[in-house]
Amino acid sequence: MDIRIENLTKTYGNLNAVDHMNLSIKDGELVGLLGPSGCGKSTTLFMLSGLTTPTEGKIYFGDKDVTSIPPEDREIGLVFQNYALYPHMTVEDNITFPLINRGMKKAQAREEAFEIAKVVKIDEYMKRRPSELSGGQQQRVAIARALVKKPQVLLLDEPLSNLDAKLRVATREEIRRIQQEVKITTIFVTHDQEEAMSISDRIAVMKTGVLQQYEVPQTMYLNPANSFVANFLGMPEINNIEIDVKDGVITADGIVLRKGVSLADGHYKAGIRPESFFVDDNGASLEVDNIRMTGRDLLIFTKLGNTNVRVLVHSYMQVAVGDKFGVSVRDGHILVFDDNEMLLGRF
Amino acid sequence: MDKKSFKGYLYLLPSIIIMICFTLYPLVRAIIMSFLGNYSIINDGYTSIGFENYQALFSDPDFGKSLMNTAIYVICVVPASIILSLLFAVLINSCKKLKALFQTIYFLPYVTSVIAIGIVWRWMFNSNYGLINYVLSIFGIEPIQWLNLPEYAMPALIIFAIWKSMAFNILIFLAGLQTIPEDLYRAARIDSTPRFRVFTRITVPSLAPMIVYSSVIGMIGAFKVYNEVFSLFQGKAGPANSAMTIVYYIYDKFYNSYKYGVAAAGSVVLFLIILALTQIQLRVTGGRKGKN
Amino acid sequence: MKNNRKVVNIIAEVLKYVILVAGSVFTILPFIWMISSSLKTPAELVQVPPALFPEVPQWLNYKSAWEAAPFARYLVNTIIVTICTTAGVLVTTVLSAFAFSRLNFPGKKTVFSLFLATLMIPGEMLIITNYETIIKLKWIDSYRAMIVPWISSAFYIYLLTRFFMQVPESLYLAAKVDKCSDFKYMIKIMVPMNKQAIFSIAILNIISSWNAFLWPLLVTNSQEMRVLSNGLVRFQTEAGSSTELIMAASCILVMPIIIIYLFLRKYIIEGVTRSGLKG
Repeated sequence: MDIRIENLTKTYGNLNAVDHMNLSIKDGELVGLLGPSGCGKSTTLFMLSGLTTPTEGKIYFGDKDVTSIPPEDREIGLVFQNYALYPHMTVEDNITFPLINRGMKKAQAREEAFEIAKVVKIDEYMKRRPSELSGGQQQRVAIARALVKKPQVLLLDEPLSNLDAKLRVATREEIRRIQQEVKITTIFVTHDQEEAMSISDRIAVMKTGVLQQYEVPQTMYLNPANSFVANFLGMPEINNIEIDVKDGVITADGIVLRKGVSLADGHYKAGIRPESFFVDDNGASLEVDNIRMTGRDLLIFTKLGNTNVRVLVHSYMQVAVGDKFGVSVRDGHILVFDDNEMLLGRF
Repeated sequence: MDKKSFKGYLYLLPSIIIMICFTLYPLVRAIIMSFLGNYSIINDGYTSIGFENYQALFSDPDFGKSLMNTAIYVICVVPASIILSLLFAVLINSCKKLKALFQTIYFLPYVTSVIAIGIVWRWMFNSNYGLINYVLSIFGIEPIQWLNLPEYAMPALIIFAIWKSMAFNILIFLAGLQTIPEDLYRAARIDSTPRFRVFTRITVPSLAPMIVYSSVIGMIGAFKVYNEVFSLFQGKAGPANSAMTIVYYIYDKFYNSYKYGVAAAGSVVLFLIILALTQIQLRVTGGRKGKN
Repeated sequence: MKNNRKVVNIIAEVLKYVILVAGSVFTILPFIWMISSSLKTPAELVQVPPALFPEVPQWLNYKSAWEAAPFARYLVNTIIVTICTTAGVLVTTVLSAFAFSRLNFPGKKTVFSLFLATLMIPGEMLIITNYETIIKLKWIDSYRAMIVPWISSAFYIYLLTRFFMQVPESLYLAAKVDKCSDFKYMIKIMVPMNKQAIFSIAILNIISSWNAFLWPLLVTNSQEMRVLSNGLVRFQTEAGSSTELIMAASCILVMPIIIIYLFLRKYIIEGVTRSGLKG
């Protein structure tokens, strides 16, 4: 089921929680709505579900305008952040709940519940109560309940927030696997950029109700539309520096970073990711202020001119505080932004 | 999620009907009735509109007496009950194994019919054969005519009332004590705080909302005392009306004298007194809470 | 030094238990006295010093008391009134609490505040008019009079609303997406999830209905409709000096509730404390 959002707006008082958003999602895609708290991602999700009514705009499932259709008639499955499982009912009763409400006979409902339980790998726990299951298992029950009525669209609100770190990685792969197996158009909300990057077909980044960029993850990572997206994606965060361009030469506080760029003279804001540096004896000479090792990576805290930057290298490299080392920036990895913080280019 | 409809009122309908018929309507009517002189239920008739009933009320020495009696009752019962309950609750809370047993025992008076247990207390207060005079006689005290002499009627009532009211307070305080985080006590122990100071500096302030709640509820209930008086004095308001309370006065005017207007006026006065005292109490303890 | 503290601690512990046991005795004493007096002979009752327990328990006292006044009828009436009011209270409370906690309707806040405000009103103000209403409706001396005014309680509604509000809204929304009607959600999800609270309310109402005194006294005239509490008071006047019978009758009134209390005190205590603690 294709989804199309046109000028979707939700206003609370004077505030636009979602501001004239336009988005198109292809059938079978897994799309992540990504952004900080309050950016409007959950509001958008709930408008898609029908639980929240838009102030303006339209929502289309396929060719059908569903904007005024109530949630129970939209053929959607919704998974809440806290799973919203009925604690006094067994896993089986939880999953059959939507089917029974639609008038299906108990026997058949049980069969279909079992089918979907197998897909999400919860079929061994049908007779248990939610309180007897782990967080990850509870979430799978919630997904099963959402999928059992064979909806056209699956919506997930921060599905991984309540899980501990290690479980998150495993569970997000499960979500991806289930989604691919059932081939259902899926939209999920998250504030974790790594999560969105790892499983989404496309990511929609939002900030204060406005869509910032809608793109394939890796492309968005290398080509952020603006400074906000550049800063939001990537861990460790991008280094924000100020550069001067004169006669095609990019310098930061006098240190030459790139020559021969076709950029007008002037002072710009720029960003260089920590991993965009590479050790180069011919490059700029920097002094190590501090280091932090995390197993595989070595993060070097240093100064580029007057600005604190972090350089990410492999932990094989031997450095100590006070050492000097040379760096250059990989081609095309200096992101230059204009006065409106939009990406001018990559140099 | 954001749609509003009137369906909710359908669910509320039975409660709203009952509330209108048996709470709101009577409230308004009582107030109106209090301004109708010589109101009669039989023909809805009255002779005047005005403060006649209130004048009758305040010029009746019995009303003043009932106010006084009630005030004495409240002042004697409520603080004593709260303090004793606090003490017992703290003691019970510190017992590890027997806590549940004590809780069960001390809460027993709450579920008992006041009328039934009042009759038992009446028997216990009996001047000749009562248990209480017997116990006193062990200590060499002469038998007291508890229920026959005006000067002992109030004390008997107060003892009975304290006995009855402690149950609820102990329960509330116990529940409150169990919500005090253990860490507070641990920190105090590390600071070698003496036990009494732990009580005054940690326990009591943490229980402050519970104490306020019990005080307000207790005070309101004490002002409306009736069943205790009725059962202890077998339908009368004590020897020579020495235990006449406000509610007793109101009911007497209503049921025995058929002076509905005056009774209504009395009930309005009762309501205002309770309202005023509750406000004062909340304001006073609100300030104290702030300081802590 | 340490020994001193140990001794002080031991004395404190002993003192604590002495106080608690003394208090327990003081608390239970009326009950024990009631039971023991009910089993004494008239002669034993006026014995000085009074004995704690009778020589031979006079179980016949109960039979005499039971037959001296129509206690069977009183008991039946009390049971009928109690069960009907409790059933009614449960229905209205669940419906209202659900409306206040989950449903969205205009004026909700105002109406809720109104319900809460009624808790401040003393019953003494209302009783006169309510009596008048019963007379006008010609409900005097009927079950209806004893039941209907009490089938809705703002207190229980407030209590249950607090409980209902602790159920996450997401369950309601999930159910809505799954095509579950409001009514069905109330019955299949809200009520089962709050079984304990609802049971507590039922027990509390049973107790207060069983012990009700003034209102039944007002609205009943005839012996057939009398409830236990009124019947007991009547009996006290009639039986005069047969204290042992009066005590037996008191026992009959008190014992069923005590038995319920002993078995179900968890629910009673939970109900009372929940109303007191700010949640």
